[in-house]
Amino acid sequence: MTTAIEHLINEWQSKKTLQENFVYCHTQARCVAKTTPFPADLDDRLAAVFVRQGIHSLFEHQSLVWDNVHAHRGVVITTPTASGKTLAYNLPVLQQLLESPHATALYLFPTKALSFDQLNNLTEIADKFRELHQFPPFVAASYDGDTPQSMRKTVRDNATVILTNPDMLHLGILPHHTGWERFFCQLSFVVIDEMHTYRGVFGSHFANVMRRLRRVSEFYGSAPKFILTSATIANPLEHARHLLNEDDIVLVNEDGAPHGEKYFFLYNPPVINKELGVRSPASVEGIHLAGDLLRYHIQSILFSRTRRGVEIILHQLKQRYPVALHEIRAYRSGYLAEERRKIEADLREGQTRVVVATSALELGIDIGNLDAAILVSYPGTISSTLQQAGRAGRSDKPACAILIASANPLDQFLVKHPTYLFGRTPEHVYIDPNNLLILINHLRSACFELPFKEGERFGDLDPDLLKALLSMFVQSGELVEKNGKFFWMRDAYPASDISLRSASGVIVTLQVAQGDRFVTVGEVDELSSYWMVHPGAVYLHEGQMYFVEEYDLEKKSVHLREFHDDYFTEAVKHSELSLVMQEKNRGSGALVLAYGEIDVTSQVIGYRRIRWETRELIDQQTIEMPSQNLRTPAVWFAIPELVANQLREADLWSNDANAYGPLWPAIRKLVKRRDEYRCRLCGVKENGQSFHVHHKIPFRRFANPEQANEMDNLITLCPACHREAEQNLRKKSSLSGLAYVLHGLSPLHLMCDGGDIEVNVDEDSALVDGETVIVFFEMVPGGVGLAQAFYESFEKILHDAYLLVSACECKDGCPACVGPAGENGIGGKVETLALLRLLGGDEGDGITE
Amino acid sequence: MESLSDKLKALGVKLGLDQTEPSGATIKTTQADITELLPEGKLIPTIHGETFWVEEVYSGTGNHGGFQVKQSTDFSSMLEMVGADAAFDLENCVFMDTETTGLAGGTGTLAFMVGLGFFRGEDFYLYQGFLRDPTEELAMLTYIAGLLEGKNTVVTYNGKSFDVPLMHTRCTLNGFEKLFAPMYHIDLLHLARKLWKYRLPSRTLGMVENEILGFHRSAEEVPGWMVPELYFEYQKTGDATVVLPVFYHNAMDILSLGVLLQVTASLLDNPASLDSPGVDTVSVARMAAEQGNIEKAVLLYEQGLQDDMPTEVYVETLLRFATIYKRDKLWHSACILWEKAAEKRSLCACEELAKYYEHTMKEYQVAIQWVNRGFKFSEEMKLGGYERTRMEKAWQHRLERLLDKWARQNKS
Repeated sequence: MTTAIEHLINEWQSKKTLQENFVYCHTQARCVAKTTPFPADLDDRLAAVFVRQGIHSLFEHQSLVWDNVHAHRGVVITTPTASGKTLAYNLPVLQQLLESPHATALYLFPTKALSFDQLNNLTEIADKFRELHQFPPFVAASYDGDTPQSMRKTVRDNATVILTNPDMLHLGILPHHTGWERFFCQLSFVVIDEMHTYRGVFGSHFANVMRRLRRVSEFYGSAPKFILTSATIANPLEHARHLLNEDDIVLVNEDGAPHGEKYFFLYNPPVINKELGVRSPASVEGIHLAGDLLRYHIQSILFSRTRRGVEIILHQLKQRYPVALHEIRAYRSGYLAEERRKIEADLREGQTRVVVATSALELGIDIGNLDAAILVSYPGTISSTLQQAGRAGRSDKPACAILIASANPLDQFLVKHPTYLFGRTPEHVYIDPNNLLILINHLRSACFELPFKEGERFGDLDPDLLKALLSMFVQSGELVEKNGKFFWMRDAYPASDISLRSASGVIVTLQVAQGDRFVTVGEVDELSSYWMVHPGAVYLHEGQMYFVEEYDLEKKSVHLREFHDDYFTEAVKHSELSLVMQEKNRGSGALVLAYGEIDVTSQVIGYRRIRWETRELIDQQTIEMPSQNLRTPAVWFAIPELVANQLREADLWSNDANAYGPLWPAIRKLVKRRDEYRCRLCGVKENGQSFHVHHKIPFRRFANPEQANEMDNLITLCPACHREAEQNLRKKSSLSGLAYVLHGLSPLHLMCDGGDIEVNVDEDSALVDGETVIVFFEMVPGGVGLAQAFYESFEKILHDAYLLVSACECKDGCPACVGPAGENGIGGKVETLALLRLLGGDEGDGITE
Repeated sequence: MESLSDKLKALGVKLGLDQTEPSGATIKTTQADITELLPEGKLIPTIHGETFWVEEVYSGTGNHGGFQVKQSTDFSSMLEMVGADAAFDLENCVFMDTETTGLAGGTGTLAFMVGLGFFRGEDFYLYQGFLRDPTEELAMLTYIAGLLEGKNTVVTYNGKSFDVPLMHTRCTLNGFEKLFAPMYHIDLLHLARKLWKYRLPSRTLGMVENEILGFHRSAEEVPGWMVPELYFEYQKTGDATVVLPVFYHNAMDILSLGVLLQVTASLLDNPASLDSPGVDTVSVARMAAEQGNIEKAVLLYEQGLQDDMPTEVYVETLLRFATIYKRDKLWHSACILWEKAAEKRSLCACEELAKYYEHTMKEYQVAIQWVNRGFKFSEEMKLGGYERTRMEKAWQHRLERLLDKWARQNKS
């Protein structure tokens, strides 16, 4: 029997116009459930509750978790979305709470929405206990910023399962641990859900919060067991061990849950402008495909990266397919719980046929399973992609997921190299709990919580460094040392100086006008604020776009207003780099790759406005923000002279005639006359052979010929000098093209945001005596391990860069490869490709094919 | 190689406040030891080491401000008011106040001085424990436990939200039982707030000392906010001279607590006994009303209102008193109070009267008269923009409704 999905897939495959857009299909075969009976030692009362819930046996991975927990090992579960991870950890925890009625458990979720969801889940279990005339073995309560003050003491004194987030643990619980004496004395389990979200800066903070949690638990004589869950990442075990500084953790990743056949398509929208490499916008294609799904009565979810995207898609879908109101709905963060429950119920009952959501929904919130998922553009990481695609999938029917590529380099790379998504190596997750800037305030908080004893360790922090830091605090009077103990000695609450989601702790608040007052909607750390929320910037917050109206440097506050235009902004920075210390280097083909620490003094001097859908440059504006200093790890390499010469010799001249405008002949004459018919470089006078008039700043960089053809931008050159000038420009564009593509691809290897790293072309560089250098550095002071990872996987990234650029269909550079033509000089694609080839990028074995 | 502190500086880390001082500058040549500076102090051995204590006895017949240290006091009204049990006995009370390294709370705040006071016989005994360094904390707690034996009531000023939870945190951190947990707790701040709401601009202990007890501290006094810094300096330099004023500060706090408990109890027993009989009496009346002791409240309200008091207090008291009658539908008595308040231009009173004549008496014409009076008052009050529009709207609405009702009543 053919299902609706299979019918539709056939239809897609048979349409000529569509066929070529479905560039890849990954099929996952149907598989049956691998179940095991309830463990023999499972408490009968608990078993009865689950039977009540319709659960009569466990999936294999769930009983594997059970076994390992009972063997006193920590467990990381990485099975896919909707495979019953919650049950996997609830089971051993609830059993423990049944066995010892005073035992307690701490559940940590990265967001409040998630803990809310899981609280409901536990409440249902408690209800089932009551239905069976049994007393539930636990009192579950959430304890976070939303818990009313009047309720907090009751929760502290009575709850046996606390659901909270790392921020609250860090700020509200650990520094007041004496108020939680009962809870900590009996702490048996710590459940860490969605562990993969604890990466980069947030993850480095989180690891420190875990160090503090460990100290406090030890003080009360408890040694909780850890259960972690994670989306698919390349290094779940290593990451869990790093987060907890604990080796005895095992991985459970074999999914025992049943599922029907699953088709995962990669869809590349048709090119609608070959010259500029412009493709049809992903959202437009998404709406088309959603229409097909509607026609076939296939229940589906559309993911968009922004709330605005959600609204646009919703609006257009409704216009085009006039169905009942509840059949197409949006679902995003900010909705009230009641609304959400209603949509969930409608989805389960099949009333709602299409739901449009932001990526906020990809984390474990239960909306049931659907038949199809459409991802409008790459969500940024492979993990997220798999999570979102995992929303489609039934235990007994086929399902499909479609990723629609946008013009972003990563999107374009992925549709051409699908193995990245479906091979066995998704991203690595990196943290650096010993980043000094992050570490230092946690160390203060730890001292505030309990005096440090001499010889005591703090995670895997080098004992000598720990000692040095403690004695520095003694020196500064923050600690008093006596009899080998270090006591906090300040009228301060150090935890309040830390925001887990930023590195420096200096916070800029983001405010939106509501009536006549301003309401704080979020915060960014000061270091990032200059390029993220400078005046005129478009800032994306929880899927909503805002326009930055004002940045008050003194009050450290930013005024935003909601924004509904279809462009985003990119800060233009001027940076100066200087070397602090080179730590190591290694050869890589023709290159010498160096790793070390640098100082980056940078200033935001302007910003570009760019169209969302096409990535087309609208214009560039000038502003001036204060300059700032960043001490950070970096990787750099100079272009060897040999390579530079080879580039110069290879005649990469592509003689595109630009349309200089109708006035060009007249302007040319004026310039030559102004320069007295002499070459401004070598001084030779025009004689017979006609001299050239050269644009100092390339013509294509300007929005219109009038600006490009300003007299100040034009000089007279002899053909030889002109060739030299153009070649320098070309070298420049090959370097900036390389920097662009390295920056575009690195997040794929490092599981970070584009904003976490920067790749610069540094001319006359202080890093390698005055040479032109490409520098990769982290945007977090002290770094979180990304530069180190870049250093190690450089060849792979270089090779992928080559593959991306060489396979790109554009003519002379586009947003999807080396940057849009016109932005980095003249095109730059051919030049970048030549450079990549010379650097050995074509020989690599980086790709996982 | 860069030094650690340079490295941190480059990363933008700010170190402690003292970082800029050149090291050694603050270290004095003479490091006066606390045992030398306070020869009356004793190092007391406990099973957990030595702890430093100063003891002093104040004669019960001596004066503290305008009051004798020990008075003959009837505590029964106060005990009734705070709901304490009958086992109360001044001899079983401990007066407690801590000096700490900050107000931030949490596990990192240290109570480096704990002052305890007891009435024994005719005298007041003061004990002050002091941490020469944080390692002596367990010894100090151990000694406190001994001092507290047989005591069943702890008396503090703001101790419910600060000193007692802090002491309990310190106990937990030292693996010690929570010292004050089994005791009945009288927090005099809570009583002071209710008693002197009208009389004092603020209810800090200093304010109550000056205005109620008539006590003024000597030049030795340091303000409370300076206390943590003095201890930090002592910890840094080892020079105990800087913390000496803290002993005086803490001693006076404890002594004031001892006297204040008695003064408060006497006042609750006989509100007219001090210099502001009217205001004090109506304050106690209000407390009685909140306590549910309506009979006593009515009596005290009636008594208090015969004395002079500021107009705002007078009007507020009339209105509060009236709510008692209103609740019992004793309209006549309530109206008398409202009309008195209306004489003092109370808008609320006009509103109450308007409501009474509209809903209870259905005398719309009289109600309209009260509304018009309200309008007049509100105009005279010169309210701000938003408040004014809101109020006028409500009154306008009321007026229209009344006119409507009146018209209909006339027709029928």
